Amino acid sequence: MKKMKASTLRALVMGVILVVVAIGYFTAVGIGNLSGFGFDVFAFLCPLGYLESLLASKIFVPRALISVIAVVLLIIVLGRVFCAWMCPMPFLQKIIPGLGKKSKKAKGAKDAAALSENAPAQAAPPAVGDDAAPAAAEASVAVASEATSVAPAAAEPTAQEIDAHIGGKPNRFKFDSRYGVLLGALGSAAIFGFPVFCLICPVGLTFAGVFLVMRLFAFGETTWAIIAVPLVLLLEVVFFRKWCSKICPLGAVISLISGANKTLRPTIDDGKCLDTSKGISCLRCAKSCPEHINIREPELSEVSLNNCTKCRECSDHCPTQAITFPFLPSRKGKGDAVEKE
Amino acid sequence: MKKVSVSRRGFITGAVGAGCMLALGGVVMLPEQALCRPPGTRSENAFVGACVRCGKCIEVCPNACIVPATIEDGVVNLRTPKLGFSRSASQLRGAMGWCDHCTEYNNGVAKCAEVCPSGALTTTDDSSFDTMQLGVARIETDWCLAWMMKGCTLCKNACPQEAITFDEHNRPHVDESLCNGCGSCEQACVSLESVSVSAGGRSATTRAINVVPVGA
Repeated sequence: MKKMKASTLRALVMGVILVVVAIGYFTAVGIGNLSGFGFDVFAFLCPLGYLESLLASKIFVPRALISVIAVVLLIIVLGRVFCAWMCPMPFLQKIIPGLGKKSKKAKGAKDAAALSENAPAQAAPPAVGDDAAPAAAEASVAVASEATSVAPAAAEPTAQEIDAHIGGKPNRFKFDSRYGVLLGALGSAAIFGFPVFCLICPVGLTFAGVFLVMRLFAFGETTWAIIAVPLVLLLEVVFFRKWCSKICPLGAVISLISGANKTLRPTIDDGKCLDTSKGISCLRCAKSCPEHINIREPELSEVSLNNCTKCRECSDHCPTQAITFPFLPSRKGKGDAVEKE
Repeated sequence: MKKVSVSRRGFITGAVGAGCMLALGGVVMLPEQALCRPPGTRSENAFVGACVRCGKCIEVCPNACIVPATIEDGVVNLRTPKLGFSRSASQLRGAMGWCDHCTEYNNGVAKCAEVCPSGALTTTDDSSFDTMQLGVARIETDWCLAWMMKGCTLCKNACPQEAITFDEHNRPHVDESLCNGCGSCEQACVSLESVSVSAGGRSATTRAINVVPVGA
Protein backbone atom coordinates (compact mmCIF):
# COMPACT_ATOMS: atom_id res chain seq x y z
CA MET A 1 0.00 0.00 0.00
CA LYS A 2 1.26 3.42 -0.86
CA LYS A 3 2.05 5.61 2.11
CA MET A 4 -0.29 8.55 2.48
CA LYS A 5 1.19 11.93 1.73
CA ALA A 6 1.74 14.08 4.82
CA SER A 7 -0.27 16.95 3.31
CA THR A 8 -3.26 14.65 2.71
CA LEU A 9 -3.00 13.34 6.25
CA ARG A 10 -2.88 16.88 7.65
CA ALA A 11 -5.96 17.90 5.67
CA LEU A 12 -7.78 14.84 7.02
CA VAL A 13 -6.86 15.69 10.62
CA MET A 14 -8.13 19.26 10.15
CA GLY A 15 -11.35 17.97 8.61
CA VAL A 16 -11.90 15.67 11.59
CA ILE A 17 -11.36 18.56 14.03
CA LEU A 18 -13.84 20.71 12.13
CA VAL A 19 -16.43 17.93 12.17
CA VAL A 20 -15.90 17.29 15.91
CA VAL A 21 -16.31 20.99 16.69
CA ALA A 22 -19.38 21.23 14.46
CA ILE A 23 -20.99 18.21 16.13
CA GLY A 24 -20.23 19.71 19.53
CA TYR A 25 -21.85 22.94 18.46
CA PHE A 26 -25.24 21.35 17.96
CA THR A 27 -25.09 18.68 20.65
CA ALA A 28 -24.37 21.06 23.55
CA VAL A 29 -21.54 19.00 25.08
CA GLY A 30 -19.35 22.06 25.31
CA ILE A 31 -16.48 21.21 22.98
CA GLY A 32 -15.97 24.83 22.06
CA ASN A 33 -13.66 25.72 19.21
CA LEU A 34 -9.88 25.79 19.11
CA SER A 35 -9.81 28.95 21.28
CA GLY A 36 -10.97 26.80 24.18
CA PHE A 37 -11.08 23.18 23.12
CA GLY A 38 -12.30 20.53 25.53
CA PHE A 39 -15.18 18.64 26.93
CA ASP A 40 -17.68 20.14 29.34
CA VAL A 41 -15.80 21.92 32.15
CA PHE A 42 -12.40 20.78 30.89
CA ALA A 43 -10.68 22.83 28.24
CA PHE A 44 -7.41 23.41 26.52
CA LEU A 45 -7.21 27.18 26.40
CA CYS A 46 -5.44 29.04 23.61
CA PRO A 47 -2.21 30.28 25.22
CA LEU A 48 -2.25 33.55 23.29
CA GLY A 49 -5.92 34.10 24.09
CA TYR A 50 -5.11 33.52 27.75
CA LEU A 51 -2.23 36.00 27.80
CA GLU A 52 -4.33 38.60 26.01
CA SER A 53 -7.33 38.11 28.26
CA LEU A 54 -5.11 38.23 31.38
CA LEU A 55 -3.61 41.54 30.27
CA ALA A 56 -6.90 42.97 29.01
CA SER A 57 -9.08 42.14 32.00
CA LYS A 58 -6.25 42.34 34.56
CA ILE A 59 -7.97 39.56 36.48
CA PHE A 60 -6.09 36.40 37.37
CA VAL A 61 -8.23 33.29 36.97
CA PRO A 62 -6.64 30.13 38.45
CA ARG A 63 -8.81 27.88 36.33
CA ALA A 64 -7.74 29.54 33.12
CA LEU A 65 -4.11 29.13 34.16
CA ILE A 66 -4.68 25.39 34.66
CA SER A 67 -6.24 25.16 31.19
CA VAL A 68 -3.19 26.90 29.75
CA ILE A 69 -0.73 24.75 31.65
CA ALA A 70 -2.44 21.74 30.06
CA VAL A 71 -1.68 23.26 26.67
CA VAL A 72 1.91 24.11 27.60
CA LEU A 73 2.48 20.50 28.65
CA LEU A 74 1.00 19.29 25.36
CA ILE A 75 3.34 21.55 23.43
CA ILE A 76 6.34 20.34 25.42
CA VAL A 77 5.37 16.71 24.80
CA LEU A 78 4.39 17.05 21.14
CA GLY A 79 6.10 20.22 19.96
CA ARG A 80 4.62 22.79 17.64
CA VAL A 81 2.23 20.28 16.02
CA PHE A 82 -0.71 22.68 16.26
CA CYS A 83 0.61 24.86 13.46
CA ALA A 84 0.79 22.11 10.85
CA TRP A 85 -1.89 19.69 11.99
CA MET A 86 -4.68 21.75 13.58
CA CYS A 87 -4.45 25.36 12.42
CA PRO A 88 -6.51 25.91 9.25
CA MET A 89 -4.20 28.66 7.93
CA PRO A 90 -1.58 26.51 6.12
CA PHE A 91 -4.37 24.47 4.58
CA LEU A 92 -6.25 27.58 3.42
CA GLN A 93 -3.06 29.01 1.94
CA LYS A 94 -2.52 25.80 0.06
CA ILE A 95 -5.97 25.68 -1.52
CA ILE A 96 -6.35 29.43 -2.08
CA PRO A 97 -3.63 30.81 -4.33
CA GLY A 98 -1.94 34.12 -3.63
CA LEU A 99 -1.78 37.02 -6.04
CA GLY A 100 1.84 36.60 -7.08
CA LYS A 101 3.01 34.86 -10.22
CA LYS A 102 2.56 31.17 -9.91
CA SER A 103 4.78 29.79 -12.65
CA LYS A 104 6.88 26.83 -11.73
CA LYS A 105 10.02 28.85 -12.11
CA ALA A 106 8.82 31.54 -9.74
CA LYS A 107 7.89 28.94 -7.20
CA GLY A 108 11.31 27.37 -7.43
CA ALA A 109 12.94 30.77 -7.05
CA LYS A 110 10.93 31.42 -3.94
CA ASP A 111 12.02 28.16 -2.40
CA ALA A 112 15.62 28.84 -3.17
CA ALA A 113 15.43 32.41 -1.94
CA ALA A 114 14.17 31.03 1.33
CA LEU A 115 16.95 28.53 1.33
CA SER A 116 19.59 31.14 0.63
CA GLU A 117 18.41 33.01 3.70
CA ASN A 118 19.04 29.89 5.70
CA ALA A 119 22.33 28.84 4.23
CA PRO A 120 24.22 32.10 4.40
CA ALA A 121 27.31 31.02 2.48
CA GLN A 122 25.54 30.82 -0.88
CA ALA A 123 27.24 31.13 -4.20
CA ALA A 124 26.27 34.81 -4.15
CA PRO A 125 29.14 37.19 -3.49
CA PRO A 126 29.16 38.47 0.09
CA ALA A 127 28.95 42.12 -0.88
CA VAL A 128 25.43 41.99 -2.31
CA GLY A 129 22.67 43.59 -0.33
CA ASP A 130 19.15 42.43 0.28
CA ASP A 131 17.86 43.44 -3.10
CA ALA A 132 20.48 41.56 -5.02
CA ALA A 133 20.10 38.36 -3.05
CA PRO A 134 16.85 37.12 -4.63
CA ALA A 135 18.26 37.67 -8.08
CA ALA A 136 21.31 35.64 -7.21
CA ALA A 137 19.14 32.97 -5.71
CA GLU A 138 17.02 32.90 -8.83
CA ALA A 139 20.10 32.38 -10.90
CA SER A 140 21.31 29.54 -8.73
CA VAL A 141 17.89 27.95 -8.84
CA ALA A 142 17.55 28.18 -12.56
CA VAL A 143 20.33 25.65 -12.53
CA ALA A 144 19.08 23.75 -9.52
CA SER A 145 15.55 23.27 -10.79
CA GLU A 146 16.66 22.20 -14.24
CA ALA A 147 19.03 19.59 -12.94
CA THR A 148 16.86 16.85 -11.52
CA SER A 149 17.78 14.92 -8.46
CA VAL A 150 21.41 15.96 -8.39
CA ALA A 151 21.90 19.65 -7.70
CA PRO A 152 25.28 21.19 -8.42
CA ALA A 153 27.68 21.14 -5.53
CA ALA A 154 28.60 24.77 -6.16
CA ALA A 155 26.03 26.04 -3.70
CA GLU A 156 27.27 23.78 -0.97
CA PRO A 157 28.88 25.73 1.84
CA THR A 158 32.22 24.44 3.02
CA ALA A 159 32.78 23.48 6.61
CA GLN A 160 35.03 26.46 7.26
CA GLU A 161 32.44 28.88 5.99
CA ILE A 162 29.89 27.35 8.28
CA ASP A 163 32.13 27.59 11.30
CA ALA A 164 33.07 31.12 10.48
CA HIS A 165 29.47 32.14 10.24
CA ILE A 166 27.54 30.95 13.23
CA GLY A 167 28.03 28.22 15.70
CA GLY A 168 25.52 27.33 18.32
CA LYS A 169 22.64 25.21 19.26
CA PRO A 170 20.06 24.40 16.59
CA ASN A 171 17.18 25.20 18.87
CA ARG A 172 18.41 28.37 20.52
CA PHE A 173 15.96 31.24 20.61
CA LYS A 174 16.02 33.36 17.51
CA PHE A 175 14.11 36.58 17.32
CA ASP A 176 11.89 36.95 14.32
CA SER A 177 9.13 39.31 13.29
CA ARG A 178 6.41 37.15 14.89
CA TYR A 179 7.67 38.11 18.32
CA GLY A 180 7.28 41.77 17.43
CA VAL A 181 3.66 41.17 16.43
CA LEU A 182 3.22 39.18 19.65
CA LEU A 183 4.49 42.07 21.78
CA GLY A 184 2.24 44.46 19.86
CA ALA A 185 -0.78 42.19 20.36
CA LEU A 186 -0.18 41.86 24.09
CA GLY A 187 0.50 45.57 24.52
CA SER A 188 -2.60 46.45 22.54
CA ALA A 189 -4.72 44.07 24.64
CA ALA A 190 -3.40 45.68 27.82
CA ILE A 191 -4.04 49.22 26.56
CA PHE A 192 -7.43 48.76 24.92
CA GLY A 193 -8.81 46.15 27.31
CA PHE A 194 -9.87 43.39 24.93
CA PRO A 195 -8.06 40.52 23.19
CA VAL A 196 -7.12 42.44 20.05
CA PHE A 197 -5.51 39.68 18.03
CA CYS A 198 -8.50 37.36 18.59
CA LEU A 199 -10.45 39.73 16.32
CA ILE A 200 -8.36 38.81 13.30
CA CYS A 201 -6.99 35.41 14.33
CA PRO A 202 -7.36 33.14 11.27
CA VAL A 203 -8.22 30.19 13.51
CA GLY A 204 -11.02 32.12 15.21
CA LEU A 205 -12.24 33.57 11.92
CA THR A 206 -12.36 30.15 10.26
CA PHE A 207 -14.53 28.69 12.98
CA ALA A 208 -16.61 31.87 13.18
CA GLY A 209 -17.21 31.71 9.44
CA VAL A 210 -18.28 28.07 9.50
CA PHE A 211 -20.68 28.65 12.39
CA LEU A 212 -22.14 31.82 10.97
CA VAL A 213 -23.10 29.80 7.90
CA MET A 214 -24.41 26.96 10.06
CA ARG A 215 -26.49 29.39 12.10
CA LEU A 216 -27.75 31.06 8.94
CA PHE A 217 -29.21 27.79 7.74
CA ALA A 218 -30.23 26.40 11.13
CA PHE A 219 -31.76 29.52 12.66
CA GLY A 220 -32.09 31.98 9.80
CA GLU A 221 -29.76 34.42 11.56
CA THR A 222 -28.64 37.03 9.08
CA THR A 223 -25.74 39.36 9.83
CA TRP A 224 -23.15 41.26 7.84
CA ALA A 225 -20.56 39.21 9.70
CA ILE A 226 -21.30 36.36 7.27
CA ILE A 227 -19.61 38.52 4.64
CA ALA A 228 -17.14 40.39 6.85
CA VAL A 229 -15.62 37.39 8.63
CA PRO A 230 -14.72 35.33 5.53
CA LEU A 231 -13.57 38.52 3.78
CA VAL A 232 -11.03 39.37 6.50
CA LEU A 233 -9.88 35.75 6.52
CA LEU A 234 -9.53 35.75 2.74
CA LEU A 235 -7.49 38.97 2.84
CA GLU A 236 -5.14 37.39 5.34
CA VAL A 237 -4.82 34.22 3.28
CA VAL A 238 -4.25 36.02 -0.02
CA PHE A 239 -2.11 38.99 1.00
CA PHE A 240 -0.02 37.55 3.82
CA ARG A 241 1.53 34.50 2.20
CA LYS A 242 4.15 34.29 4.93
CA TRP A 243 1.61 34.63 7.74
CA CYS A 244 2.82 31.54 9.59
CA SER A 245 6.55 32.21 9.54
CA LYS A 246 6.55 36.02 9.71
CA ILE A 247 3.37 37.30 11.39
CA CYS A 248 1.45 34.81 13.50
CA PRO A 249 1.86 35.67 17.21
CA LEU A 250 0.17 32.42 18.24
CA GLY A 251 2.86 30.52 16.37
CA ALA A 252 5.42 32.68 18.18
CA VAL A 253 4.04 31.68 21.59
CA ILE A 254 4.04 28.02 20.58
CA SER A 255 7.59 28.23 19.17
CA LEU A 256 8.72 29.80 22.42
CA ILE A 257 7.26 26.97 24.47
CA SER A 258 8.41 24.25 22.09
CA GLY A 259 12.00 25.20 22.89
CA ALA A 260 11.58 22.66 25.68
CA ASN A 261 10.35 20.01 23.27
CA LYS A 262 12.67 17.13 22.51
CA THR A 263 10.36 14.64 20.86
CA LEU A 264 9.37 13.99 17.25
CA ARG A 265 12.33 15.87 15.86
CA PRO A 266 13.28 15.33 12.23
CA THR A 267 16.19 12.95 12.22
CA ILE A 268 18.36 12.26 9.21
CA ASP A 269 19.85 8.86 8.62
CA ASP A 270 23.30 9.88 7.42
CA GLY A 271 23.82 6.47 5.84
CA LYS A 272 20.93 7.17 3.45
CA CYS A 273 21.22 10.94 3.03
CA LEU A 274 22.71 11.88 -0.35
CA ASP A 275 24.66 14.71 1.25
CA THR A 276 26.51 12.65 3.83
CA SER A 277 26.72 9.32 2.04
CA LYS A 278 27.47 10.45 -1.49
CA GLY A 279 28.51 14.06 -1.02
CA ILE A 280 25.71 15.29 -3.27
CA SER A 281 24.20 18.55 -2.11
CA CYS A 282 20.52 17.78 -2.38
CA LEU A 283 18.91 19.90 0.35
CA ARG A 284 15.39 18.91 -0.78
CA CYS A 285 14.48 18.73 2.90
CA ALA A 286 15.46 22.33 3.49
CA LYS A 287 13.74 23.51 0.29
CA SER A 288 10.49 21.76 1.16
CA CYS A 289 10.33 23.05 4.74
CA PRO A 290 7.40 25.51 5.06
CA GLU A 291 9.15 27.06 8.05
CA HIS A 292 12.41 27.46 6.13
CA ILE A 293 14.40 25.34 8.56
CA ASN A 294 17.48 23.75 7.09
CA ILE A 295 17.40 20.47 8.96
CA ARG A 296 20.51 19.23 7.18
CA GLU A 297 22.53 21.98 8.83
CA PRO A 298 20.39 23.24 11.71
CA GLU A 299 23.34 25.06 13.27
CA LEU A 300 23.50 27.55 10.44
CA SER A 301 19.80 27.65 9.68
CA GLU A 302 18.36 31.13 10.04
CA VAL A 303 15.29 29.58 11.63
CA SER A 304 15.51 27.69 14.89
CA LEU A 305 14.44 24.07 15.14
CA ASN A 306 11.90 25.25 17.73
CA ASN A 307 9.81 26.27 14.77
CA CYS A 308 9.51 22.75 13.42
CA THR A 309 5.80 21.90 13.15
CA LYS A 310 6.40 18.17 12.53
CA CYS A 311 4.55 18.54 9.25
CA ARG A 312 6.69 15.80 7.64
CA GLU A 313 7.13 17.65 4.35
CA CYS A 314 10.90 17.12 4.51
CA SER A 315 10.37 13.41 5.04
CA ASP A 316 8.03 13.29 2.06
CA HIS A 317 10.44 15.16 -0.16
CA CYS A 318 13.58 13.24 0.76
CA PRO A 319 14.56 11.19 -2.32
CA THR A 320 16.11 8.46 -0.16
CA GLN A 321 13.58 8.41 2.70
CA ALA A 322 16.37 9.25 5.12
CA ILE A 323 14.27 11.47 7.39
CA THR A 324 12.18 10.07 10.21
CA PHE A 325 10.39 11.58 13.19
CA PRO A 326 11.16 9.27 16.11
CA PHE A 327 9.20 10.05 19.25
CA LEU A 328 12.38 10.13 21.32
CA PRO A 329 15.78 11.14 19.95
CA SER A 330 18.02 8.14 19.50
CA ARG A 331 20.87 7.90 21.99
CA LYS A 332 23.88 7.30 19.80
CA GLY A 333 22.17 8.34 16.66
CA LYS A 334 22.91 7.54 13.08
CA GLY A 335 23.69 11.19 12.63
CA ASP A 336 20.77 12.82 14.37
CA ALA A 337 20.21 16.29 13.02
CA VAL A 338 19.50 17.53 16.50
CA GLU A 339 22.32 16.02 18.40
CA LYS A 340 24.94 16.65 15.79
CA GLU A 341 26.00 20.04 17.00
CA MET B 1 26.69 40.64 7.41
CA LYS B 2 23.82 38.83 5.79
CA LYS B 3 22.49 37.77 9.18
CA VAL B 4 22.31 41.37 10.35
CA SER B 5 20.39 42.47 7.27
CA VAL B 6 17.90 39.61 7.60
CA SER B 7 17.25 40.24 11.25
CA ARG B 8 16.89 43.94 10.48
CA ARG B 9 14.20 43.04 7.98
CA GLY B 10 12.66 40.80 10.62
CA PHE B 11 12.83 43.62 13.10
CA ILE B 12 11.08 46.04 10.76
CA THR B 13 8.35 43.50 9.89
CA GLY B 14 7.90 42.85 13.59
CA ALA B 15 7.74 46.54 14.42
CA VAL B 16 5.22 47.21 11.63
CA GLY B 17 3.17 44.22 12.79
CA ALA B 18 3.25 45.45 16.37
CA GLY B 19 2.14 48.89 15.19
CA CYS B 20 -0.74 47.33 13.25
CA MET B 21 -1.79 45.43 16.38
CA LEU B 22 -1.78 48.66 18.39
CA ALA B 23 -3.74 50.42 15.65
CA LEU B 24 -6.23 47.56 15.51
CA GLY B 25 -6.91 48.05 19.20
CA GLY B 26 -8.34 51.43 18.18
CA VAL B 27 -11.52 49.71 16.96
CA VAL B 28 -12.51 49.93 20.61
CA MET B 29 -13.38 53.57 19.80
CA LEU B 30 -16.12 52.47 17.40
CA PRO B 31 -19.67 52.56 18.74
CA GLU B 32 -20.70 49.43 20.57
CA GLN B 33 -24.15 48.17 21.35
CA ALA B 34 -24.80 47.64 25.08
CA LEU B 35 -25.55 43.93 25.46
CA CYS B 36 -26.97 41.67 28.14
CA ARG B 37 -24.35 39.12 29.14
CA PRO B 38 -24.75 35.60 30.53
CA PRO B 39 -24.84 35.10 34.31
CA GLY B 40 -21.44 35.22 36.02
CA THR B 41 -20.31 38.41 34.28
CA ARG B 42 -18.36 40.71 36.62
CA SER B 43 -18.59 43.86 34.56
CA GLU B 44 -18.87 44.56 30.86
CA ASN B 45 -15.24 45.69 30.64
CA ALA B 46 -13.93 42.67 32.53
CA PHE B 47 -16.10 40.43 30.39
CA VAL B 48 -14.99 41.80 27.02
CA GLY B 49 -11.39 41.74 28.23
CA ALA B 50 -11.39 38.16 29.43
CA CYS B 51 -13.62 36.41 26.86
CA VAL B 52 -11.59 34.45 24.28
CA ARG B 53 -14.66 33.90 22.04
CA CYS B 54 -14.56 30.11 22.26
CA GLY B 55 -18.34 29.78 22.18
CA LYS B 56 -18.59 27.09 24.85
CA CYS B 57 -21.27 28.94 26.83
CA ILE B 58 -23.39 29.29 23.68
CA GLU B 59 -23.09 25.56 23.08
CA VAL B 60 -23.96 24.35 26.55
CA CYS B 61 -26.86 26.68 27.44
CA PRO B 62 -29.74 24.24 28.09
CA ASN B 63 -32.25 27.03 27.51
CA ALA B 64 -30.70 28.14 24.21
CA CYS B 65 -30.82 31.77 25.29
CA ILE B 66 -27.15 32.62 24.68
CA VAL B 67 -26.37 33.68 21.12
CA PRO B 68 -23.19 35.00 19.50
CA ALA B 69 -23.03 38.77 19.15
CA THR B 70 -22.78 39.88 15.56
CA ILE B 71 -20.90 42.65 13.85
CA GLU B 72 -24.01 44.83 14.19
CA ASP B 73 -23.42 44.72 17.95
CA GLY B 74 -20.00 46.26 17.45
CA VAL B 75 -16.65 45.05 16.13
CA VAL B 76 -15.22 44.27 19.56
CA ASN B 77 -18.37 42.42 20.57
CA LEU B 78 -18.26 40.17 17.50
CA ARG B 79 -18.41 36.47 18.49
CA THR B 80 -18.84 37.24 22.20
CA PRO B 81 -21.91 35.67 23.84
CA LYS B 82 -24.99 37.75 24.53
CA LEU B 83 -28.41 36.90 25.86
CA GLY B 84 -31.13 36.58 23.26
CA PHE B 85 -34.61 36.12 24.64
CA SER B 86 -36.42 36.91 21.38
CA ARG B 87 -35.63 33.63 19.67
CA SER B 88 -38.54 31.99 17.90
CA ALA B 89 -39.97 28.57 18.68
CA SER B 90 -38.37 27.11 15.54
CA GLN B 91 -34.96 28.41 16.63
CA LEU B 92 -35.39 27.14 20.19
CA ARG B 93 -36.45 23.63 19.21
CA GLY B 94 -38.13 22.91 22.49
CA ALA B 95 -35.72 24.86 24.69
CA MET B 96 -37.15 27.38 27.11
CA GLY B 97 -35.52 30.48 25.67
CA TRP B 98 -34.96 32.42 28.88
CA CYS B 99 -32.45 32.16 31.71
CA ASP B 100 -33.45 30.32 34.89
CA HIS B 101 -29.83 30.18 36.13
CA CYS B 102 -30.00 26.42 35.48
CA THR B 103 -32.14 25.83 38.57
CA GLU B 104 -32.94 22.24 37.71
CA TYR B 105 -30.64 21.36 34.83
CA ASN B 106 -27.40 21.99 36.67
CA ASN B 107 -28.20 22.23 40.39
CA GLY B 108 -28.54 25.99 40.39
CA VAL B 109 -25.05 26.57 38.96
CA ALA B 110 -25.13 28.46 35.70
CA LYS B 111 -23.85 25.98 33.11
CA CYS B 112 -22.34 28.73 30.96
CA ALA B 113 -20.23 30.07 33.84
CA GLU B 114 -19.25 26.56 34.81
CA VAL B 115 -17.72 25.73 31.42
CA CYS B 116 -16.16 29.15 30.70
CA PRO B 117 -12.40 28.43 30.39
CA SER B 118 -11.20 32.03 30.46
CA GLY B 119 -12.91 33.29 33.59
CA ALA B 120 -14.99 35.84 31.69
CA LEU B 121 -17.96 34.15 33.38
CA THR B 122 -17.43 33.00 36.96
CA THR B 123 -19.40 30.80 39.29
CA THR B 124 -19.78 32.36 42.72
CA ASP B 125 -21.49 30.77 45.72
CA ASP B 126 -23.99 33.57 46.21
CA SER B 127 -25.06 33.56 42.57
CA SER B 128 -28.59 32.22 42.13
CA PHE B 129 -31.71 32.87 40.12
CA ASP B 130 -32.85 35.44 42.70
CA THR B 131 -29.57 37.32 42.98
CA MET B 132 -28.60 37.45 39.29
CA GLN B 133 -29.09 40.71 37.45
CA LEU B 134 -28.86 40.04 33.74
CA GLY B 135 -30.64 43.20 32.72
CA VAL B 136 -33.99 44.80 33.22
CA ALA B 137 -37.23 44.45 31.26
CA ARG B 138 -38.45 47.49 29.36
CA ILE B 139 -41.87 47.83 27.73
CA GLU B 140 -42.25 49.32 24.26
CA THR B 141 -45.49 51.13 24.94
CA ASP B 142 -45.76 52.05 21.24
CA TRP B 143 -46.51 48.51 20.18
CA CYS B 144 -47.50 46.69 23.35
CA LEU B 145 -50.92 45.12 22.83
CA ALA B 146 -51.94 45.76 26.42
CA TRP B 147 -50.98 49.42 26.04
CA MET B 148 -53.32 49.45 23.01
CA MET B 149 -56.01 48.26 25.38
CA LYS B 150 -56.19 44.83 23.75
CA GLY B 151 -56.05 43.10 27.12
CA CYS B 152 -52.91 40.97 26.73
CA THR B 153 -51.41 39.54 29.95
CA LEU B 154 -48.77 37.15 28.60
CA CYS B 155 -45.73 38.90 30.11
CA LYS B 156 -47.29 39.17 33.54
CA ASN B 157 -48.26 35.49 33.46
CA ALA B 158 -44.74 34.49 32.48
CA CYS B 159 -42.81 36.53 35.06
CA PRO B 160 -41.47 34.28 37.86
CA GLN B 161 -40.45 37.29 39.96
CA GLU B 162 -43.86 38.98 39.90
CA ALA B 163 -42.12 42.10 38.74
CA ILE B 164 -44.86 43.09 36.29
CA THR B 165 -47.90 44.85 37.64
CA PHE B 166 -50.95 46.19 35.82
CA ASP B 167 -52.38 49.66 36.29
CA GLU B 168 -56.06 50.59 36.37
CA HIS B 169 -56.23 50.38 32.55
CA ASN B 170 -54.65 46.88 32.62
CA ARG B 171 -51.44 48.22 31.13
CA PRO B 172 -48.22 46.46 32.30
CA HIS B 173 -45.45 48.21 34.25
CA VAL B 174 -42.09 46.72 35.31
CA ASP B 175 -40.94 46.98 38.90
CA GLU B 176 -37.21 47.32 38.25
CA SER B 177 -36.32 46.46 41.85
CA LEU B 178 -37.87 43.00 41.42
CA CYS B 179 -36.84 42.27 37.81
CA ASN B 180 -33.71 40.10 37.45
CA GLY B 181 -33.65 40.17 33.66
CA CYS B 182 -34.39 36.47 33.20
CA GLY B 183 -36.18 37.19 29.93
CA SER B 184 -39.28 35.06 30.48
CA CYS B 185 -41.51 38.05 29.65
CA GLU B 186 -39.64 38.82 26.44
CA GLN B 187 -39.81 35.16 25.42
CA ALA B 188 -43.56 35.09 26.11
CA CYS B 189 -44.38 38.33 24.27
CA VAL B 190 -46.33 37.74 21.05
CA SER B 191 -45.55 41.08 19.42
CA LEU B 192 -43.46 40.52 16.31
CA GLU B 193 -43.52 36.79 16.97
CA SER B 194 -47.13 35.77 16.45
CA VAL B 195 -48.64 39.06 15.38
CA SER B 196 -47.32 42.00 13.43
CA VAL B 197 -47.98 45.22 15.24
CA SER B 198 -47.68 48.74 13.99
CA ALA B 199 -48.75 51.86 15.76
CA GLY B 200 -48.54 55.58 15.04
CA GLY B 201 -46.90 54.99 11.67
CA ARG B 202 -44.11 52.91 13.25
CA SER B 203 -44.00 49.19 12.90
CA ALA B 204 -42.52 47.04 15.60
CA THR B 205 -38.83 46.19 15.24
CA THR B 206 -38.54 44.27 18.51
CA ARG B 207 -40.92 42.54 20.84
CA ALA B 208 -43.01 44.76 23.08
CA ILE B 209 -41.11 43.88 26.25
CA ASN B 210 -37.34 43.45 26.08
CA VAL B 211 -34.57 42.86 28.56
CA VAL B 212 -32.00 45.64 28.21
CA PRO B 213 -28.71 46.04 30.08
CA VAL B 214 -28.98 47.64 33.51
CA GLY B 215 -28.44 51.35 33.13
CA ALA B 216 -28.97 51.34 29.36
